[in-house]
Parts: sequence; structure tokens; C-alpha cells
Amino acid sequence: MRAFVHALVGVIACLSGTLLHAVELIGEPQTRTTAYTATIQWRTDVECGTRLQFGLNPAALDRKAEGAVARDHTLQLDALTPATTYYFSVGSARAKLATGTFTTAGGTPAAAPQPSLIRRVLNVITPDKKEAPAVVPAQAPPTRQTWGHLDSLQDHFNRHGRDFSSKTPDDYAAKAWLFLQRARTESLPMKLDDTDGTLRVFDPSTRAFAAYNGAGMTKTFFKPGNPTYWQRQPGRVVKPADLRFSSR
Amino acid sequence: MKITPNFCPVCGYDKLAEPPRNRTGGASMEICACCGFQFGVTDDDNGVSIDDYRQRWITDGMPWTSAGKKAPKGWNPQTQLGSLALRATLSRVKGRPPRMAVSMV
Repeated sequence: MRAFVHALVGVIACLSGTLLHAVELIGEPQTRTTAYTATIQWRTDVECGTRLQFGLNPAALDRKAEGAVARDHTLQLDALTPATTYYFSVGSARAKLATGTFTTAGGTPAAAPQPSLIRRVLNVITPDKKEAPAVVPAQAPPTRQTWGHLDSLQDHFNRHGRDFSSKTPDDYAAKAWLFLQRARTESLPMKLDDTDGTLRVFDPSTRAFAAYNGAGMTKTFFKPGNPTYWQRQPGRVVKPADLRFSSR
Repeated sequence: MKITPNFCPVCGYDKLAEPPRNRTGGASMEICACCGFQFGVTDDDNGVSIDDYRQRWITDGMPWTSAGKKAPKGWNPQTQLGSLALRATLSRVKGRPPRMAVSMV
């Protein structure tokens, strides 16, 4: 009887050791970066979920990426800002396994060109008229803040994502948001439909078209094939200064 | 029958996020989750009429097209098309329809 109890305890201990085995990281996470993307790879001793959180602040990793259950985990992060250090943590669905940092390529921003002598004299005479240069931000906010009806994003991406070589719905939504920022800084043609507040934007050089709701969130983004499409769009022509919403 | 302006004139799906056209004719740019018609693109850019698209959708077997939104529970495209036909009939009726004479036998 005693031998049987010992054997039973041994079996239970062996089983619990297998079932409750904590996932362990093998080696350190590997990172590869370009100016706008980063690839993070890591390996675990058993199969588990692929979870990664990252952000600019180590205390607030506000962006997430997920992958399949595997031993070898790889995630690619898109729409990053060049020459920026990001903090990340990797793990499974249940545990955080490691933390780290990576810095995107791109070097330091180019130095501003030296103003001409006349410009410098004018700056001295009228210093208060100096304006901040218009800059298009390199990174879009999270998709939930930029896309109007989130449950429609997948369908718009499936239909129009290839117009902009977008790899994911989030990438597509980010490009749509950046298009609006560029339209505002470069004064691309815009039409505002006062009936429902829809803003339509068109870039004649790339033939990109987008529509945004009254809050500046994207309704669609694509390249129309019809040459008269933009001319037939409703609304009154507006300038960036006429827009009521602030999408930055 | 609940009347909502957020219905698709192609397939009768009545849970669009907004009306397909506003009162001055501006398209919503929405893709109908049911039939896949995109207002302001399928028609204004691709030149496909609502009737032609509906005919093609019916020929294809009336599939649910959205990849991001699931069909409502109990969704039935035939019933939906029936509601669309009824809606079209109602919109053609001007004023109150004549009352039926009821004879007591």
C-alpha cells in the first residue's frame, strides 16, 4: 500500500511539473530595424502565444502586436518614426518574458538650411512674424482614433489597401490619416459638404482620394480610376484654415 | 415595419452606419456589409448602377460580403430583398392608401 501511495505521489508530481511548467525565454529577443519598421524575434522553450507591447515611454507601453502560438516568435512593427527609441516587452498571453529597446534608423533630422542674409535681416526687423514650419508628423495615432467606423476598416483595406501598398488595415488607416495631414500642410484640393460635414480631399499628382467625417476620422481612402471623379464630388472648396476640427 | 434611412438600396440591408446619400446627394462612401456596394465608389467611380449590381449579387447567390462584420443572427437575404421591394412600393404610394371596403355577410 505504501509503495502504491509513493508511486501515486510521484506520478502527480511529474504531471504537475509538466502541466504547470512556466514558459521560459531562450536567449534574448533579437531586433532588426529600418527607418519605419522593426522586426522582433524571440524563442521560447514551449509553444505559447506571441504578445508584444511597445511605446515611447517604458512606463506606458501603449501599443500592442500579437502573433500565433509558436516556439519561434516573430513580429513586425510598422509605421514607426525614424530615429526614435522604442521600449518593448515580449511574452505570452500569461506572462511577460523580457523587456528591451530598439532604435529606428534614419539618423538625426537634417539641419535646417542657413537662411539668406536678407532673410536674417528681415528676421531681426520683424522677429514676431516668424512662423513655425509646417511639418507632417511621421506617425499616426492609434487606428481607433483615426478611422470612423472601425468594423468597416477590414473591408476598405481589402478593397483599397493595395492602392497604397498597405500591408495591414492599421497601416492603411495610418496612411489615410497622414494623407489628411499632408493635405493640410500642402493645401491639396479639399471640398467640404456642409450637409453632413464630410471633407473630401484629392491629390492630383498621385490621384489619391479620401473622405473624412466631421471629426476628421477617415471614411474611405482610395485612388479613383475615373478621370472626372474629383470634379463630380459635392461640396464647397475650402482651405486648411477653414477646417473646424483639429486632427493632430 | 421599422423605416430607417440607413438601408442599402441594392440589397435592403438596414443596418448601415449612415444613409447611403445625404439630402444633397453626397455619398457616404460606406461599403454595404451585406452586398459590398460602396456608395460613391461602385456607382460614381466604377459606373455600376444599383440595379445592375443587385442583379449580379443575386446571380452570385446573394452572399454576405463583409470580412470585418458578421451577418446578423437569422439573416435572410430573400426576406431582406422582400423588405426592399415593400419599401419601394410604399415610397411610390402618395398619401394614404384607399381603405378596403368590408362587407358583412
